[in-house]
Amino acid sequence: MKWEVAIRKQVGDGPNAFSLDMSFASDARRLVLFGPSGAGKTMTLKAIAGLVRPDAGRIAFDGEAMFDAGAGVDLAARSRRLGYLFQEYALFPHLTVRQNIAFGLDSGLRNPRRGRADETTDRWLDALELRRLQARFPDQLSGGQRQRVALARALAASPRALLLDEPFAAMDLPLRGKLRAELHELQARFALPIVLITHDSADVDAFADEIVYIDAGRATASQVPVQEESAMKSSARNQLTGRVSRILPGAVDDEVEIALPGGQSIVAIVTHESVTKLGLAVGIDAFALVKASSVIVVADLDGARLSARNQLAGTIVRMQPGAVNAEVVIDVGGGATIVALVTQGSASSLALAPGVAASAVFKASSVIVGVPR
Amino acid sequence: MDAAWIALGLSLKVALWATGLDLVLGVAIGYALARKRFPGRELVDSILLLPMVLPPTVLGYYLLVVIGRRGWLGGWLSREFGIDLVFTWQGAVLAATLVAFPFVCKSARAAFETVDAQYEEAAKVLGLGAAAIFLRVTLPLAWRGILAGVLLAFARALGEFGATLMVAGSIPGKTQTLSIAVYEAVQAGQDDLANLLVLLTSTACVVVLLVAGRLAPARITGRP
Repeated sequence: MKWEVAIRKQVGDGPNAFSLDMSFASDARRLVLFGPSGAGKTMTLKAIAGLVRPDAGRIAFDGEAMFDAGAGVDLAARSRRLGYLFQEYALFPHLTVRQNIAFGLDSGLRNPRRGRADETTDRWLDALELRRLQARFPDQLSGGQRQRVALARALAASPRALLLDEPFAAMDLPLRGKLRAELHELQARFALPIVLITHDSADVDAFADEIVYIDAGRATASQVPVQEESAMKSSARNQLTGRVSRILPGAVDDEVEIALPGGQSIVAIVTHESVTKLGLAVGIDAFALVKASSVIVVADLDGARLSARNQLAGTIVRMQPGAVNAEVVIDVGGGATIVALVTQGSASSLALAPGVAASAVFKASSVIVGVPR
Repeated sequence: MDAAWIALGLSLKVALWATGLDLVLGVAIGYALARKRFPGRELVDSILLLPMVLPPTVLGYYLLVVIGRRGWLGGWLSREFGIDLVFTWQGAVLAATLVAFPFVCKSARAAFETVDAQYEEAAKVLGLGAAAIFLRVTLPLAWRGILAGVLLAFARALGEFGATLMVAGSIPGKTQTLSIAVYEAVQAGQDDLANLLVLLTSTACVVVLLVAGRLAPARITGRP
């Protein structure tokens, strides 16, 4: 799987002229094009989808040219078999949820009938838990439901990859986090390559296997984000440094264990691709990044049976109350601390306080591994 | 009094034909004006608006110049096919079509322009061809706006007087529509007939509006 994009396009003239000169290649399954508004991200994504025709250049996916000005190749959007998630989802307002999802299954001249029974639509309604909403119209749905319908509609057409245009930009902040988590989970479930464009660094944090930085119509840099230590610091509160003590290879993902100076260790799930790219091996220094919101505080670990792989025992050293959430800082030995965000309610019901023994618990899949430069 | 009913039938026939033609032409041209970029687009738009501003008699004169027996189109039709449009109900249809055309074209263009191009792009990515996109997405989303224009066009065609009189004349039972019959009745001092004709016209208009309100489903473009 590989994206190859090298295109040029000139739009308008005079002071309003914009010239796109985009060039990047990536084999990341989750590629994020990151840049400010007006940098040419959407135009690039539309060019990949076949909605915008570049003046010159080449676009290929998996070695197959979808556009090649030199060779006279320009596949129609419908022949590219790429799913596209529009910024505000662009659900057809005159069709029900069910009709929207069935829309791409038949390219004839008539819309799917409201009551039409078909298996594929049923399957996607169930997969995204939309069955009880199937008769509703888009304007009767919440933001999260709309996103799921849009995803179901795109996925039902069995695309080879999914292109996402600022999927959370239109949402307010609290909803954004929730939808991000949901999309993250769905992407992992359907294992579809994605290209996501955004100007929000939180999206980069959540989705990027590789970032292409875009500014003023050009790709200015490209990198695997876990190598960029400083970029991660701003979004993940916890950075725990240690040494790789074990790597268990898997089919797609590898399991990486990092031993901390205090004697405890952290397990992380890292794609095989990233392990190779980072040059991870037993004995080298590495750090683990964990978001404070991913950490659960368990007051009494004895007897608790949890699925999370990381359960680091320690002592609370500090509590920082906030408007909604309290910050709990746990010393896990060897000079390492872990910050966790818990609601004020949980903090008081668990009687969390400095000096109390508590464990920091988080899933192996919520850990990002990096290598110091 | 039979003459009144005949005039009503003729008026409805002419107005329906004219509206039908306007629907096809107006939607096609309105769509082109809304979605296609071509040089002279706004000039074309202005020229298409002319029937709204020009006096109907002037329009009627233009039509005669074109489809009259000595006109370039009328002459050709007459020579090649023996078709003569002047002083026929088909000529009245042409006059009404021309006069009512801007109502459909204008509202169709405006309706198409309010359809977010993103819906069409979404349909394109989902695998639809141009015709399917138009019929399944664009038209259903613009329909309500177009319908408003179609109703106005029908009302305008039903009341058309000047251009029709110029082109089709006032032949009772053949080209004498309601509005022309009203004029003739008043001129001849037949007040009873005029009263009936006016009542018929008004009733026909009210019925049209009621039917149209019924036909328009509550949910055509989704709720605002």
